[in-house]
Amino acid sequence: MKKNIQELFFGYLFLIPDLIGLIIFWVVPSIIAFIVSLYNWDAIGQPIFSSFSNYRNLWSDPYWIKSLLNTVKYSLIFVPLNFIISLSLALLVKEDVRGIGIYKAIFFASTAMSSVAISFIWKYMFQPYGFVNYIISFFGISQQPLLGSTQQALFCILLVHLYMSVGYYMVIFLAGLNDIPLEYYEASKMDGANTIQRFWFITFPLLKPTSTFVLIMTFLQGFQIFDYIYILTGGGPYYSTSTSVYYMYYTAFQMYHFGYGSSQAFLLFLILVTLSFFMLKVLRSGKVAM
Amino acid sequence: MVKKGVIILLVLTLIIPVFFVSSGFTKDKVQVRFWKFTDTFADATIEKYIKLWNQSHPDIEVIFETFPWGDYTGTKLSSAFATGQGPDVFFISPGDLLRYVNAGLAQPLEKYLSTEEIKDFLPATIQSVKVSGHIFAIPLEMEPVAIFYNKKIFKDLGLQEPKIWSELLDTAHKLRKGEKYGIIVDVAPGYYQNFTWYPFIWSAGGDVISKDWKRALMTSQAGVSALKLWGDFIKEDVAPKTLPGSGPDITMLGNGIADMMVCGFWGVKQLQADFPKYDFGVFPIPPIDNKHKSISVYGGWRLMVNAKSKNVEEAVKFAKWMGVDQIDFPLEWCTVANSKFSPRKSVLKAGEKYYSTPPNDIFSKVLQTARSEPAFPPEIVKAVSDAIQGVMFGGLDAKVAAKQAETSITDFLKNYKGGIPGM
Repeated sequence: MKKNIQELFFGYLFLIPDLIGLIIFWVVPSIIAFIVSLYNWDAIGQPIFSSFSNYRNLWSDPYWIKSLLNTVKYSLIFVPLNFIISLSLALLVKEDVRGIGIYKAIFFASTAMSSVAISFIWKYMFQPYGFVNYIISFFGISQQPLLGSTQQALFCILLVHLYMSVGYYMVIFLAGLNDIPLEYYEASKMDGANTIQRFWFITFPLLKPTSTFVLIMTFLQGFQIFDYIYILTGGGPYYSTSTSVYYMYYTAFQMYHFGYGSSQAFLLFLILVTLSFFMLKVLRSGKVAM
Repeated sequence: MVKKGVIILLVLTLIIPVFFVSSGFTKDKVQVRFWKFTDTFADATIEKYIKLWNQSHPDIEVIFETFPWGDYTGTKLSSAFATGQGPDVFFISPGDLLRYVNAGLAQPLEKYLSTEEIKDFLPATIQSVKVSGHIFAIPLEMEPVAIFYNKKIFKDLGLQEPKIWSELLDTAHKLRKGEKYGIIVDVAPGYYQNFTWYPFIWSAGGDVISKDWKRALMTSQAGVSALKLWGDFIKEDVAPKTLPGSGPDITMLGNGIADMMVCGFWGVKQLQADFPKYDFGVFPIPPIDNKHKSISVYGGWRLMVNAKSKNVEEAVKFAKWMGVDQIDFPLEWCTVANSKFSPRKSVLKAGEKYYSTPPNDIFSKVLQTARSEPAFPPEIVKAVSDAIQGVMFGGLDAKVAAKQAETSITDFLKNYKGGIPGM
């Protein structure tokens, strides 16, 4: 009993530094952000209490609604594409063939690069007479406006984001794949299962914990996309690439409406917590026994 | 024994430096913090004069700090003032001036300036830093906007400098060849795009709002036409929809993305330095037709003193020394470190030779009818920006875009209680 209490005590003692950090850098700022959201404030003048008017104004702000819809649209495309591509790459590089390490390094390399630097490079490549238009011209496609098009700009950002993230999640999936006992595959081969059947009945179900992690992380990443938009389009053209986080930044740091920006931040926080909770509940149900 | 000695040494190593950074050793003189954005080429000039100041004013030490452009114009200055850590003297843009005045952070300066000193400034530049009768900043520079062009291509194609908008659009079409566009205008939403668009509404005889800030005027013929022109630049594919660099970056012209570019006076030095063989000319932004006049815009940073500074008097003394008391710094800043006009008549006279040399002489003429960048609050900036973006990329008709902007601005003006610039 005494030993248990002692263990409990030391356990919490070691948690304290992290808890203090969490309180100082997460809990307290969140509370302050909520309080700021109840005021009209431009950061340098006197805050004026406005109750929940900032939250009410959100629903009559067509650009905020457009940004939210852009975010949902972006995430709905980014999450499955990232999942499929990174899992495919992981399956490809899992094979123990000579020189496979080079491919792993190539696919992972983009993750190690600065997103800002990569964004600038892609910005040049997306120019009307840039590399991307040069490549698509070989397929008989005429010059495309890309970043200059309200229809295409978001997909350009998606491409850059995928380029930067698939390598990282490939490694995550690789770790998950390596955890699956080989005996299952050997047994299935003996039973006559083909590649697709082995993937569907063994790999995919046993990858569930990894898949859950990847889906939730990429979902959060999709909702929080900012840096590529900041460099590539600045939210344009005409709000076509403005997402929730970017519009929040624009509202606070370009329009100097910190109260209104905080209300967007708080609402986004509630949306993400709620959606993450439901995602975890759905994805974690029906655990697969190894 | 050794272990004790090591512990004592460690403790001393931690404690002793505290005395060096505390006020005891360094604070027998007043310190004035001076902030601006980083300009790796021109900042050396400021550092040189600050060194001179510090040598000649042993009781007032100026500490100069610069920050990357994005940080300074984004979060740095606002965050610093929000936490009470704002600098004593700082560069302020025309767009931000009113916000700091309305927040009570701008020190009124008229009591520190003699009548002669005020008269030395071009009247319009003093008006541009005046709110409710008080002078809230010291204008340092003026950068009028015009259209740079490739002289050689114009000559090869037998083109003349456009005199009205229809000729401008027509010339842009004639220049559009292969990968090269006819004209570059800024495409990114924001202050700079608006800044380069204002001359077009003015040159069509209109304005964004009335001088008394009571009415929005975007749906005037001038407003609609100016929006339509920029929309046509994009729709008719004579201007690129995306740019590899930022809007003010004249190197895009030097690199051959287009053969005309709307840009400011700062572009002269930049082109001469980076593209010495590029034969460029400059012409004023044309008016809409022959019945109207060309009216350009000039920007230019100002020196503002923090009204909440603990050392206001010393800060004013320094700011005045830099921008008012002498000719040397303003002349070197405007004609050597940069290509800018000084807002002071005495400095313009001292730099007469520089300002009368082509192509600077064109900008000298442009400046005579140019207006200061409006000190609009962010709400008006956004309304105008949304209208420009709407016609360029959102498929909006110019009248619809103008109407939306006018409605937003009208709603804002109804509840606006702050100062009115220029009054």
